[in-house]
Amino acid sequence: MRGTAGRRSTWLRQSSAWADAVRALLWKEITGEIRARQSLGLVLTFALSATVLAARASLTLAGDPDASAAVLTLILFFASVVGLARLFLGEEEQGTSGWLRLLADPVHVFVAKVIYGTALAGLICLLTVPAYLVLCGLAVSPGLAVLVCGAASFSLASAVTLCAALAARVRSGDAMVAVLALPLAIPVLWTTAGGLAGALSNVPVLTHVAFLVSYGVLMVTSGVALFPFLWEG
Amino acid sequence: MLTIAAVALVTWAGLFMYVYSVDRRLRELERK
Amino acid sequence: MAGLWLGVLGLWMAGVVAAALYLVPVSVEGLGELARVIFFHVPTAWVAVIAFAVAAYHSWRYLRDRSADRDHRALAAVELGLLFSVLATVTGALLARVTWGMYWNWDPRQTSILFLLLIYAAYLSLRGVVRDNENQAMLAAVYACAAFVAVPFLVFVIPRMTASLHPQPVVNPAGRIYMERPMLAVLLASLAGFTGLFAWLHSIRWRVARLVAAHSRMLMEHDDPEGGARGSGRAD
Repeated sequence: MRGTAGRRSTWLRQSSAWADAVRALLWKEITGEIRARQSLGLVLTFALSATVLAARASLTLAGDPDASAAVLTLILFFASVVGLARLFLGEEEQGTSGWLRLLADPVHVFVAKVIYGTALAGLICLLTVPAYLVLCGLAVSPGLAVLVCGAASFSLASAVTLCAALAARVRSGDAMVAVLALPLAIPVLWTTAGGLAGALSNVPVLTHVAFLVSYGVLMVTSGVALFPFLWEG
Repeated sequence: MLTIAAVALVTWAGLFMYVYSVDRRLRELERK
Repeated sequence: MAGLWLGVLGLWMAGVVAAALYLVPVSVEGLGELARVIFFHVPTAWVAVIAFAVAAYHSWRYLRDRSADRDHRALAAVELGLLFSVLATVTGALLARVTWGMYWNWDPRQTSILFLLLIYAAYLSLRGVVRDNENQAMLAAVYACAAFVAVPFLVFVIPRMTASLHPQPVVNPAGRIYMERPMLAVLLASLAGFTGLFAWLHSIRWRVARLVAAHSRMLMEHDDPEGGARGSGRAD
């Protein structure tokens, strides 16, 4: 009995150390972002401009939920890729990658990046979706939309983060992220469009959300397994 | 359909012989 | 020994071709003779997926033991997978034209094979961009493994989630078989034959890659001017 108690407290100790490490790395991401304020602004500006353009162009869709959802998903994807690509390219540019490699456990780094990426994608959704809806005069069931966007942000970030890490090791990194991420992101995009269409038509979207979350979890898990190979090269 | 089947068979025979010859050459080179 | 297996494969496939294109009566609703494409479409799609599984397996093993042979096998599997994906997409489009009147229907199964094609293309473009061999192998291996996680979703989950124009799977979950017995037999035989064909082509392709790598290593080590004359470095 004493043995199991000992093991359990070790696990608790280990998991809190784990959480601390991730939290520290996350904080580093956020402070780094605040310092390099322009790049976040750039991403959000791009997202907004794309939204405005797309909304103008999709007036002829006459509020068709499937089509509108598809357009919205595309905007979200490209804006997110632009933002998420910087997750690792930023490290290479600022020269912090060597330092990071020395001090941090790759798993912690990866998880922190995914959490940050999810937040970034979520922020993009927060800006893009209401803007698009207002510009197109569409109504949406807010609960469903939030659910879908949240799940989609997580799912997308989980798939794109690993690709961003891969692309950072390649010279033409920027372009490479989109090429690598697109096939992995297609299930996410397909499902997000379906989910958003459901939110627009007030139709249940539980399957879509469940899919997005499970896909995200799967991607994070494989990322956690694969990222160390990239980190140590 | 008979003609198509016949053509397909001949094509397969040709492909097979070609790949087989590549395989043979490969084995020769591997032995060296 | 290998010769025996190859002989069997050759004859087996010849039998499949003959049966598929002529001997077996075709009885799929209203398609007539054109339904025979199924005997080639289904196996190529099957091989396209198998090839990727093989590539992912060897990629994972490469990440563990960094053996160049593993990398050769992975790349060979991807190249063949790309070929079979293209064949599957084309035969699928032909079948779609015949069955539903259009070459492309955004039918989930049809789209799934296109996704697979995209993954293969992304993998090969990644390899193309990275010059350094070891880095190339490692990055590609990581991508193959990551993409492999997506494949079950692309190939199995998405088709189930959305309404499908695709004919019911040949063996549905309840276990009942929709094709007539003779047709099913030929289909399964074709499946086996194509798998064997893939195994053979894969073996040849990766052994060629191994030979080329060994040869260029030899050239670099000895810096030998006679390297070209000693034996053909081109084994293809």
